[in-house]
Amino acid sequence: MKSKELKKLSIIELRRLAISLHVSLTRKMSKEQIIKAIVASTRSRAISATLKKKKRYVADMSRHMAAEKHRVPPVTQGENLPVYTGIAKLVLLPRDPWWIFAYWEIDAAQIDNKGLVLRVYRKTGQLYASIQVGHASNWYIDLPEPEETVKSEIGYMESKSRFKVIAVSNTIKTPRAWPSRLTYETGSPGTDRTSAGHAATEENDPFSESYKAFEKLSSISRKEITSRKR
Amino acid sequence: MKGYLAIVLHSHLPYVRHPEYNDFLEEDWLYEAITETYVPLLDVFDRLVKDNVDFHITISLTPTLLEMLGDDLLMTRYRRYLSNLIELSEKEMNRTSNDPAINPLAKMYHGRFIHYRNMFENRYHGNIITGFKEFMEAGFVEIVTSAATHAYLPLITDEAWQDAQVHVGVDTYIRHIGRHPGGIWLPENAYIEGLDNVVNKYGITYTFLDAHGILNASVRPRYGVYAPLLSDAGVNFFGRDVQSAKQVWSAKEGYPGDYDYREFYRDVGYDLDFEYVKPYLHSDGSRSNLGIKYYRITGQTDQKQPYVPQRAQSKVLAHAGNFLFNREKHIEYLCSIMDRKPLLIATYDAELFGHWWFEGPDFIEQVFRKVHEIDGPVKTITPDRYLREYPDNQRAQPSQSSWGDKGYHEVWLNGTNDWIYRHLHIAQDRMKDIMHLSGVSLKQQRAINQALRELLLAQSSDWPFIMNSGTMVEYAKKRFIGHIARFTKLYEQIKVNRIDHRLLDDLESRDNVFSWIDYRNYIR
Repeated sequence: MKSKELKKLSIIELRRLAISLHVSLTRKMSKEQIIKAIVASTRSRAISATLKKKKRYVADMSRHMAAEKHRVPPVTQGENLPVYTGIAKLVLLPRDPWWIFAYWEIDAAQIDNKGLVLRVYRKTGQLYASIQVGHASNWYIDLPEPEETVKSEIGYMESKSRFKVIAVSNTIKTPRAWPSRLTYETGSPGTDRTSAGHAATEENDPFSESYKAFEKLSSISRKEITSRKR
Repeated sequence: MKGYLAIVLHSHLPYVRHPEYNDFLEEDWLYEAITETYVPLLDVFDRLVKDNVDFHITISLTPTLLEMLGDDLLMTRYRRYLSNLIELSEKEMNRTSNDPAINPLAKMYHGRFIHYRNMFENRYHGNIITGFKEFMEAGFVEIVTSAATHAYLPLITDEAWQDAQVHVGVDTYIRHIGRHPGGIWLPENAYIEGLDNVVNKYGITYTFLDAHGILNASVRPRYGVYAPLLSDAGVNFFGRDVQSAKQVWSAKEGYPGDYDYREFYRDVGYDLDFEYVKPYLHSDGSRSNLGIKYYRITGQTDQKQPYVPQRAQSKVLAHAGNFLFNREKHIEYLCSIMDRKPLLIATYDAELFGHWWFEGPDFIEQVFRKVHEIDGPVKTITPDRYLREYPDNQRAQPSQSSWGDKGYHEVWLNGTNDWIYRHLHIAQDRMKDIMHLSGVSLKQQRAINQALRELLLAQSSDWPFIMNSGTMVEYAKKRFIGHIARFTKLYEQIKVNRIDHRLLDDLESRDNVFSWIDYRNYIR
């Protein structure tokens, strides 16, 4: 910390700063002396670095060993992301049981400067959402249920009733968010999937109690097992 | 004997190699991991074998890590790194000779570095992969593979490219390990429907998922996560035991936060006089961790106290004992509700042990020693051995999931990193195009191989992960953009058959991962 910057602070601010930096002061110290003490205590970058880093200690237990490395490496000059032409592409990605992500890559020439509309369809072909996305190039969409199979198309209204499709997406399925209703049927473990499970109420499932125990054993906050990892 | 514990360590680093610079900060990730995690683990295995302790552990060595550990330039630079550390630790022994608290620590580091260099040079002749292989052949360690560049497979979307990632991963494993992999670590334990088919195609019979990947399977798992599920494609899915995970990972209660353990953030690289440490820092002169750390965590204070190895070691014993005690109780309980031996899968990032948690390798050693001494209800095992005992497992399809924050794909798909996917997917489509070109010249073939390397490097999950984490973001962005830009340049040149040979030479020497790759093997 430079004394020049410190001189701009009031004596009260300096005392506060000293406390936060764990610099011990006496009651009678002058402004000059306080500044001297602060500068001396922070001369080695180590201390201020430690102070800053200590707070991140837990959050940063990460294999990327990143916290202390701030240097931006020079790489080959002039490397930029490409600009694409002649592509009409719409892609859906699942994010979690309730959200999907859509991005599109479409030539401006193709849409005649019209605002785009993203249509999302559920498995049955039922139109779930029609979103005015304007000139955006991606969108997050929330879904009512997990384990949805969805597909979408993007385009614009040619006229009041005619939707011009420019690109059709892939079909994706979002993740399940809770245990299946199908329970294990006693029988050989090798039976094929159609008969390996049957819809059962928890009452007639002989293993429902142990299953609940398993679930309980696994029901810990995800934060607790991911906080240190990263 | 009543049940099994399978400890699984995931070792991974992204491909970081910058021959264009004399020294490069991010390469330290590898050098630190070798000195602090990989060699110390081999050292632990050595001691266990010498004392006739039977133990079983599973380790993933990702293809990019294997390629770096087998790279001449990086291993030459590692030697330089280690010599520097040894020199610095010698100076430290002198500098601290009048400090009774610190001097023994300087000696400890010096002794370790000398020992590790001895292992690296004389035992493994500069290739520590040999070490892991030896323990595998002796039946203690099971090495599993991973996707080529640790791509986040669910967001690759195109099955052909999920396939290529796995295929290159298997080929890399065969090249370095010398046999076919039995299991795979799916990057970030990320699973999406259909991956089991891809994995099975290459003869892989098992993988790992986070607990909810098993619990939310298409049919309720009869044994929870304490036995694997067998998917339709014939792949066994092992679910993570969250209790084992929590005791080590938890920020609040996890062992690594114990006050007697070594403090990671007090490093001589920051603590000592700048001129003194300057010769050991990177050439740009910015301070960085050097790997010599003298303080213990001490508490919620900045007044850190010197590290006392004996105190830390007694905590290691206590924590190993506590860990095993909890596993025993857990297994005894599970035995009361299961009609087969329960299996606890304890998965961790390998670099937690040693790099972050200095005493981590000792902890693993003590867990194995206690299992051996007590000879109680818990035995350690690897998944392949378990499957030999229990080849028949419940049929169900696992659920889409990952071991990342919130359990799904959000860490790799959010406002900080979602922009990468359009470039990745377009590059994937274009790569397929050029792979299918016919009548290509030899030079074009070389360029197509290099384009494939650039694409694979761009697919690393590390880049979106780092963008999301908020530290080192610029490096991750530059890496991603760089690989996409290089891919695109090559693609354009290949299409019109006008290859800039200087560019090609340059890229081949720089981004040389999978130098042996032949794209014709990966056409689908």
